[in-house]
Amino acid sequence: MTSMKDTWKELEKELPQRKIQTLKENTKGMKAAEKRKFLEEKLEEYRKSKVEPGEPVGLLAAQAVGERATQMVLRTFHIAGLTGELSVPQGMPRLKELLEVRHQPKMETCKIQIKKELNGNKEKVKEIARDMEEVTLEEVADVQEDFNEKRIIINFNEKKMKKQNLKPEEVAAKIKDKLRKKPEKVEDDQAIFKPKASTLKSLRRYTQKAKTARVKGIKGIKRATIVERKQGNKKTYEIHTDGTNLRNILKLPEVNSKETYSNSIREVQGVLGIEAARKVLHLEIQENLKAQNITINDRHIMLISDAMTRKGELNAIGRHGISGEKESVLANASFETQMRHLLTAAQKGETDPLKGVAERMIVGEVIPVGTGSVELRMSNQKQKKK
Amino acid sequence: MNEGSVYLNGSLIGSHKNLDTLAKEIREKRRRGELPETLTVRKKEDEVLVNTDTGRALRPLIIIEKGKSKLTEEHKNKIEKEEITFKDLIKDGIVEYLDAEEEEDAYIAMKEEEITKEHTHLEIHPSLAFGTCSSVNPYPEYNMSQRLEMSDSMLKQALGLYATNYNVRMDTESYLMQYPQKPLTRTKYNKILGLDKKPAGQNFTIAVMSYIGYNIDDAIVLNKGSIQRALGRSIYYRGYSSQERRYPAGQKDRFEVPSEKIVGYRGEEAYKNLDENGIIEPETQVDSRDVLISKTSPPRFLEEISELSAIEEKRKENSTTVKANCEGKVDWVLMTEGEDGNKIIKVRTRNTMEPIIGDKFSARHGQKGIVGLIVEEEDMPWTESGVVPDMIFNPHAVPSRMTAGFLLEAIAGKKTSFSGKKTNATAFEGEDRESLKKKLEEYGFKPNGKEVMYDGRTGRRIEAQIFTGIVYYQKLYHLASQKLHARARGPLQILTRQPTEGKSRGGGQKFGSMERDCLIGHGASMLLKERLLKESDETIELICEECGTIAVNNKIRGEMYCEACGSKNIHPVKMSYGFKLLINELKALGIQTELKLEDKM
Ligand SMILES: [Zn+2]
Repeated sequence: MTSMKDTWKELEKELPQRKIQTLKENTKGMKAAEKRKFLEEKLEEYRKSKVEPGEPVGLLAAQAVGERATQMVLRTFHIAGLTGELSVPQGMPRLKELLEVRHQPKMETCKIQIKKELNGNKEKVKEIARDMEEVTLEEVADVQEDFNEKRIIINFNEKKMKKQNLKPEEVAAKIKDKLRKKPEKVEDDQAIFKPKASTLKSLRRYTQKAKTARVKGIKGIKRATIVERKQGNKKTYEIHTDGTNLRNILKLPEVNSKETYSNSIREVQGVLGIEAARKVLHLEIQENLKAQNITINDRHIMLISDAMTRKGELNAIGRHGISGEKESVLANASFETQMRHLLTAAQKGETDPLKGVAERMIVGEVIPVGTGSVELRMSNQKQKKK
Repeated sequence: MNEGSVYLNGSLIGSHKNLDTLAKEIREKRRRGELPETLTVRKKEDEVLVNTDTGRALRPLIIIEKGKSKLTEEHKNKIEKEEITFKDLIKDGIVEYLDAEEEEDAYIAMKEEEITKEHTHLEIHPSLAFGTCSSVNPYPEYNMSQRLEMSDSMLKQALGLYATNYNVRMDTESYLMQYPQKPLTRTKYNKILGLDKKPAGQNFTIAVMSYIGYNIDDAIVLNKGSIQRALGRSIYYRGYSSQERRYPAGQKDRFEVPSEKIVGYRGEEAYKNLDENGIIEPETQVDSRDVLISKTSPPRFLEEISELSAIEEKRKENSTTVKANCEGKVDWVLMTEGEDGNKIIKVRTRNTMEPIIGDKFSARHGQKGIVGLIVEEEDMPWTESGVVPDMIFNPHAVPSRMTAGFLLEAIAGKKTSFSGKKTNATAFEGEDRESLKKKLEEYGFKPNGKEVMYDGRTGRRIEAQIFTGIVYYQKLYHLASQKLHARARGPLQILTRQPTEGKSRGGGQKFGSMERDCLIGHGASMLLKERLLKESDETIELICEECGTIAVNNKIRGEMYCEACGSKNIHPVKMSYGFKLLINELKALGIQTELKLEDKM
């Protein structure tokens, strides 16, 4: 009978440290015999769940997701009418967005966590959310053109200004920046600008500029709502936004920057780096599939998000992404835009080593997968021994 | 006074002081025939829409004036005597067409009795809500719309008397049902549409029960005795045509039995059924690829005429043969002349098609099925009175499809077979269930259509009572014998040397990209190679080791050499012909490929 210590040592040869740690925690208080049996079972399970050499994991991941995704086109659950929460595109459209790493996803949102000392204070959180929202001049004032005098008259809506906690001077200053012109007059209920507009057309352009000028908030945040979370008896509040601007949100002093989350992969990559983007991609795909009641082994999703981020930048699945950038000329040429690939390969005088699946299939060779991933070779030494 | 704008085909054309009178006036003018009958008017709150464009579905309705239908008894009598037609009714302003837009302004009565003062229009008949095909179906109002639609599309595939002059027609392909019957349960439209003269189906006696699993999932079981009595029997005609064409330089095709010297001679055996003119005799049994009309054509290119030797024409064999799966008897041989005076010979073959396993049948309720088994008559169940059904229909096919009309038709058919009077099953006016039940009871049956039956195989009474009836069934032209196809070896495409595709070319079963992915997913590399290479386009090409191009083998001199560099360091390499073709095509693009050879071990 080996001692428990030896058993652990034996396990350490095969299992990663993290697994050992959880096993140690979970087997606390077990009797030796029981513990040994349990560990043996776990080791067997671990061995079974390992991918065998030569397994075409990429293809399996593609099939696993693809098969379920075809069903998703047919039925998409719409989660509508949930108060407070913002609805993100669901199902197939969102999955496509994620895998293609679109530049402008339909609904970018940020889940902002507030620092611990403030997150129980509903009023304070509400205030933070309000200050975050982008407000344009149009929303707080009535903008009119005076064609005779060629000026822009801004009539402030007192009620709305008060609600947004805005002062006419502040607003006028923001408009000044936008129009690059000092105001003619600023009063409590009115501000008048006279831009350098010679024609009515250019005046209209200036008016349009003024109307859409941001007078308050963070750029890109169209809406910010607070969401209640219950933790036991304690109520905490977080902010969900429509539109993101992670870089500026994280700068806010009230924000818990460690736990704030954005669903925009490109933005996360820009602000936090590729590893964070990988994690967000993984979480978003997982979340999306879960919402559709689709269960796919997480490892497939991990593989996909790994493949999409392995070059240190985001690569879409598809023609312009990882599918179009294989090392083999033949494999690339067999996947859309054939002529371009063949001609550039010819120009550069490229060599195809015929290592991948697609190119070997074209040539008529055994593919390096499964039973084809092993080769028989004659050993010269053994023959000599005989 | 109500002022507003006037739109013509969606675009604003002006305004009017009194929209009500405008709409009224336009309507009256249309009824008088001063405006086209397809013009429609809609009066909204402050606008009048006039539509004359295409793409609007119009339907006819009888006009009601002052609470009275404009269609009087007098009109009805005249129509019956065929003194006036429907067109006259429109001309006289008795019937008018409305589109969906104008219908919003109308208040339509369904029946004449319902008319009140507010009504503006009267339906001609409620069953007009259905289209041409649906109206032919019995009891359509009892079925789900999707099922009706299916039934409509299958009606078009039914075999029947496709033309009354079928006997003197030379169609390339035609099907003809033998002994077609008028349906027992029918609608008014059967007669109106002339379907009674050219029926497409037969009345089948059915028993709704399972039969040892052979009618699972919409399959049907047929009685062999019934088939031998020509149930569901059809003829397949296939026409062939050949012409004695004239060519430039006075050359001509010739109908003749070719001599042995002619290019493409098929051997004596192939021409044994032909007469001296090279034409087959009627009533000869022919098989696939047998010669029907033998013809020789002049060579495509004229050879240079040398002065010394006599001109020896090298004619080609150009016969017309029976297509695959079209064997049968020669039915009719026709000799005629084309417009330009060329001799034309047409041959029609005929093949009788008895129902076989895999043939498709359908009732008129979207209840289609495939023959799953043909049972000896003695093994079929029989009823107390000794009736053996023609078909056994699976009860599971009804509840989920909700085709109540099917069951009603069965009962109605049973009633009809005893009363001898055809049952009217037109939508919204067909004989109702209660009446059918009562009549059945009068004839000594259970009102619900069920009967005690005995199992033909054991002779024992079947514990459950079986619902039986007579249903009109159509034989659809998807016949198993015309679809059957298999290939072990066969023709290859010339360009790619891969097996051909499609039944008509003797092709193989496609091993598509998804099947391929499946093999990759299982890691079955060797099987994959066999599928994609061994059983497809494997070739051995000679490759020059020096420059990597494809080399040649001069068999006469017995040497292999590279044409590009002259090297004799040549190796045979196994590859797919598709890849070799790719290399050639790249060459045509101006891209030189170089294959680097390496030892496998
Ligand atoms: Zn060479």
